[in-house]
Amino acid sequence: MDVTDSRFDQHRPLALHSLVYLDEGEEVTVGREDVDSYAILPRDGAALVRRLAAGMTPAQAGTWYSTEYGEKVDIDDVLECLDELGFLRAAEEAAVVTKPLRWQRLGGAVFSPAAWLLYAVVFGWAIIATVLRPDLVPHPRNIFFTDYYTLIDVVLFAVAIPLVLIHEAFHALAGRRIGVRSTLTVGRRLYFIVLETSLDGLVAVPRRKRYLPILAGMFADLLGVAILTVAADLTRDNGALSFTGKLCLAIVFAALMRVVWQFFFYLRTDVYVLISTVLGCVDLHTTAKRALANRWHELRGRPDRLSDPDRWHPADRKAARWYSWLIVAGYTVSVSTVLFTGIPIAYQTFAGVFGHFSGDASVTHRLDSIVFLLLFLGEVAVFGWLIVRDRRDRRRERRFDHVIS
Amino acid sequence: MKKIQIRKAGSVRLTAAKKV
Repeated sequence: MDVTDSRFDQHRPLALHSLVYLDEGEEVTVGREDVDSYAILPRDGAALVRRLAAGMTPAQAGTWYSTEYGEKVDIDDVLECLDELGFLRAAEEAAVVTKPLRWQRLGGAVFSPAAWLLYAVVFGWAIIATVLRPDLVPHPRNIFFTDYYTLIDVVLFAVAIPLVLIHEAFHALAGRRIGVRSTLTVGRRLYFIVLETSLDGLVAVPRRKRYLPILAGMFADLLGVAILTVAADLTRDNGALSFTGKLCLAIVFAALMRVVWQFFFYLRTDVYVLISTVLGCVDLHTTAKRALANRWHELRGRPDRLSDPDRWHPADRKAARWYSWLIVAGYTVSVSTVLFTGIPIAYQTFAGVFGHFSGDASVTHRLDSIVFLLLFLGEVAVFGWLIVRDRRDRRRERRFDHVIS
Repeated sequence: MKKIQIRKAGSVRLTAAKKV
């Protein structure tokens, strides 16, 4: 396009918000830390943005690019991108003063050398105790610390909430420790309700520093397992596990199930984030879904619907070739779990629950069934609300015309 | 005229989640 059509003044410097740059070889991640908006640019593009941020006018930056790289650059497209990303500042808009990050010192303490030593002692103790006393070994039957099934459900759910919050807090603290902001929301994955910590600022720190914040959640889960195992061992009655000990081991088993759940990577769990970080991907899940959609459209002879693989990030495109099939396999596992075990179990359970409302069931049985139903309906209500919220958010999501997303 | 590819960076979402 001709710059005379531009909506930007070519001869006045632009005001940009404060930007951070992470050089990763051929690519540079550039972004605003205060609002966590980041983009990936080729080296020459990032050099151009640095010139604009340093006060060059668009015309001067264009001339600089031609001299440096021997060809003319579409400077207006770059400016449109910067605007879409929120990097441009209106002349009268004050520069954002970054607020200091809370909990940064606590993050440093939780992952300090002294803390690691303490964690090592706890893990060592738990492992030795379990080897010496096999009744501490995790087993599904440990879930049944009482004969009242609804009580099991209520207690494990009530305990899971603080434990899941600690899992998320460890992600957040490991992020804060290295200056990355975080927000906590409720989300969903397939049919699971999840808590979700956003650490978008991780893309602007060197890759090897991202691993601790990504793994900190599962580490917190395992630390909890170790502490509860030691607690079960310390609260014995004449050598046998006490009620407290049995309760601890029930919580341990439920916590280990949550760690196993993280390996269902196709639900975009912590393990998925780990895999995609190791592979250097940008948005592997979306790219893999687009690759699957492309195969589907090809089969149906609808070339007009194909997504252009040239617009995908090279690392995503390469990994999507095999990862897309893993998503199909994963969803198949999840859906068949529901069909072949979830539904039969739910049928049995509900038949039992409604049985308690008919005939001459005892008060305890009725109460048991009412609590069970309330828990179930609560979960369904939250799930429904999440679906509505996500739809509304998707409609409000901003579309990019210049930035590739 | 060289067009520079500017791509939105990915988001990082870390999660934690059914049981008798």
